[in-house]
Amino acid sequence: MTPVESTPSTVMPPRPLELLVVWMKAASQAIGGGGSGVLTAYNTMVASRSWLSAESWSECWAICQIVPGVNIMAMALLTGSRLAGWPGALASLGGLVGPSLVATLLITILYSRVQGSHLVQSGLHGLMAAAAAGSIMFSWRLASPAIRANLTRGRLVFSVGVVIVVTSAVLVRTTQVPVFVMLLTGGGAMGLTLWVDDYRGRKAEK
Amino acid sequence: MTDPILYFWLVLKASLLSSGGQGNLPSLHQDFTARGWATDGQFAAALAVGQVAPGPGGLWVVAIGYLVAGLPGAGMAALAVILPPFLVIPVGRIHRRIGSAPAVRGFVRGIVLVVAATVPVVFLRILASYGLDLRTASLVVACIGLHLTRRVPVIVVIALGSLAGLLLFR
Repeated sequence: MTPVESTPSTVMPPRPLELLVVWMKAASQAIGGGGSGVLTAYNTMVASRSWLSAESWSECWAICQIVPGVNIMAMALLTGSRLAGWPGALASLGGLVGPSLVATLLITILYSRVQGSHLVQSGLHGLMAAAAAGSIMFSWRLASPAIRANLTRGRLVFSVGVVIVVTSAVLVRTTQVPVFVMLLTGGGAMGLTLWVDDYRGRKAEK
Repeated sequence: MTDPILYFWLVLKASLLSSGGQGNLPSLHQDFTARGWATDGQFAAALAVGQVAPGPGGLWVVAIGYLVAGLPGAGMAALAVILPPFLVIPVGRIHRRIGSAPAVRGFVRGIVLVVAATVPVVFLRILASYGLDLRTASLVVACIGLHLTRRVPVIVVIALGSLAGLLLFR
């Protein structure tokens, strides 16, 4: 891995310790989701210290959307690796995850001590309603760029996307079909559809 | 939890085939509840912890790990959720070559659509374990309204939801 490939030549690349601190600060701002944490990291790394250009940041973010798992963790790893190699990647991830992991564990332990309380269960009921609303918004924001992109590709691609969404929702509600089977089938179907659509487009051009 | 290897594999598999912090919820919920390892109530608690704890929302998996199998469960869950994002480094290297291929873009898009379709269904199913009555439904709708304004931070919506819960479900 080649470090500092994305840092503008006039700027001193960050040391791993600096990256650790930046991502620790980002984690402290990321309550209720990673969005505000990413914004905090952007403000420091791009806007304030110019370690990365806005273009490099956007490219990293786009790549993070296609890898599995938690996007903000991938972002810390990728930007850290580009700025300071493996030490930078590990320091960034450590800053993001380390203190948060301890906080999560402490809150869970605290919860397990008071879970029998009716008051706690009432608060949790309300919190879950708010979290369910957040999950609906999360899903909409996740799916809407894909749905818009499908719309621009014509009826076939759009229809396959709709079938994937409806079938997945019905299957997860009413059957025990393994979710990973749905994911692989949905991914495979959409991949094949886009490939066929692209092939037909190129053939028509010829 | 009787089989640590199976447990680790189930969490890793759910994270490997997911996108975003809660994308692994449908798979984990299905695998853990089918084996009797966790209840809807424990999932609700873990998701709640993930909402109020600082850091990546994906760390809710650590909370369910603790509730299911104590500290070893939390440790293994943390490892299983941290490992998949490491794929970003090799993917970052080959992205320029294959990232724009229609089949690759389509595969990722299909996974995103499945995740987006299944996460709310599972969330609502867990919420239903508390009782899905008119008050709960109204609270969900009110919170969606707050999100739609884009002016209220997520943590404030969560705090207001909890407060409303204390008042409505006493």
